[in-house]
Amino acid sequence: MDKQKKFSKLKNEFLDIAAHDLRTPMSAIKGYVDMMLSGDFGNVPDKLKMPLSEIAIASNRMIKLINEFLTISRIEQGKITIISKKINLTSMIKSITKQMGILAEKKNLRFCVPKLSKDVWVMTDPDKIYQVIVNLLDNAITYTDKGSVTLTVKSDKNVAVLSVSDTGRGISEKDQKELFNKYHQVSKNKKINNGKGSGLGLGLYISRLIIEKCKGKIWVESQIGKGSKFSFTLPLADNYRKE
Amino acid sequence: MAKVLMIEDDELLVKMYSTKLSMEGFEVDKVLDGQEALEKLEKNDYDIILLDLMLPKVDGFEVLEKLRVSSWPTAKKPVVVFSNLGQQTDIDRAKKLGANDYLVKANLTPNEVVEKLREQMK
Ligand SMILES: Nc1ncnc2c1ncn2[C@@H]1O[C@H](COP(=O)(O)OP(=O)(O)OP(=O)(O)O)[C@@H](O)[C@H]1O
Ligand SMILES: [Mg+2]
Repeated sequence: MDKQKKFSKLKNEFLDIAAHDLRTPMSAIKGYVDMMLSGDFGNVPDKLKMPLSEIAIASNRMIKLINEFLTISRIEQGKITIISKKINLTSMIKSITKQMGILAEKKNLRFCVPKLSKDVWVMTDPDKIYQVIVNLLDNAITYTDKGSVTLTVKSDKNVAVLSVSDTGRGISEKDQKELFNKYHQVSKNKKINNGKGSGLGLGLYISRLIIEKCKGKIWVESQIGKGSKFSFTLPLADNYRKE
Repeated sequence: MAKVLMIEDDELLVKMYSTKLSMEGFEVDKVLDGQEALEKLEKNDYDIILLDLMLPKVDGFEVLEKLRVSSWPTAKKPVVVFSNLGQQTDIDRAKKLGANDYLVKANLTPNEVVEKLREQMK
């Protein structure tokens, strides 16, 4: 094994352990704050509501980062196993919509999920794809200040296509090429990103790794100032069987 | 009152979840390792079991396996596996061994955990 490989193995092992030992104390912080905010320890004085909510947001952000590091180190070590199950995308979307709708509402964004006339069945790894959809929606909501976020699903010949579009700030052509790489953040946005409590530029990198492992493609169409549309494909369940 | 056995080795979490569960009207019994868990399970009846996977002495998979083939009072009661890992291989293994649900600790709040337990006891 050459030096570079040895080092990267060591790094991934370290990340695994760190992530594991960081998550337990983080779940305690997140848990107690949540209990306080929901009134388990008595009424929360108005003055304390703001700082407690900020602790909740900060701990969620930290857990998100730890999870991202863990996922990446697993994928890079080849430790992640992608399973393949027959999944109804339509019903998966319903549960995500509930969760992410709250975030959109907080920013006064319209969250549109057009009703589907028929179910779309895909062959895929449900947990991983769930994570990708959450990443895309999380971005669309974070990087859009007004207007709407729309989630659509359609089937197109052999594949299902899922798209998340927004009316946000958009992404330049140059950045579009780099977006799916590790740690890439749009430089002009860095300050805004940090201010918004966003992460490290890992979400889209992870999403690309997952989609590629699930035999799909992921891409972006965007125009500065007009908005962005992120889409990915997955093999349809029917075609999968014939392969 | 629903009786729950919590098998978890991190005292920070034991304290938090047992506080929450008692508030929600559960009667909470707790053990810190797999060996103790087996001893408790052999003699006592519970309505539901909350089981961590990474445990000292005897790990959670083994506890689950032994419980399901036993003739103990709780042999067929719902077991909710509780772990930090969330890897699909572990989830599949736990489900195959007879776990009813699988939760990743850091992703859920105590309120959500209670909700999941209630779902299993319906
Ligand atoms: N819908 C969008 N509209 C505008 N810019 C976007 C959008 N989605 C992503 N970006 C830009 O692409 C960058 C990379 O996104 P990515 O999700 O990989 O990382 P991140 O959101 O910065 O951090 P995290 O690791 O928490 O996801 C973002 O920093 C942002 O500048
Ligand atoms: Mg992101």
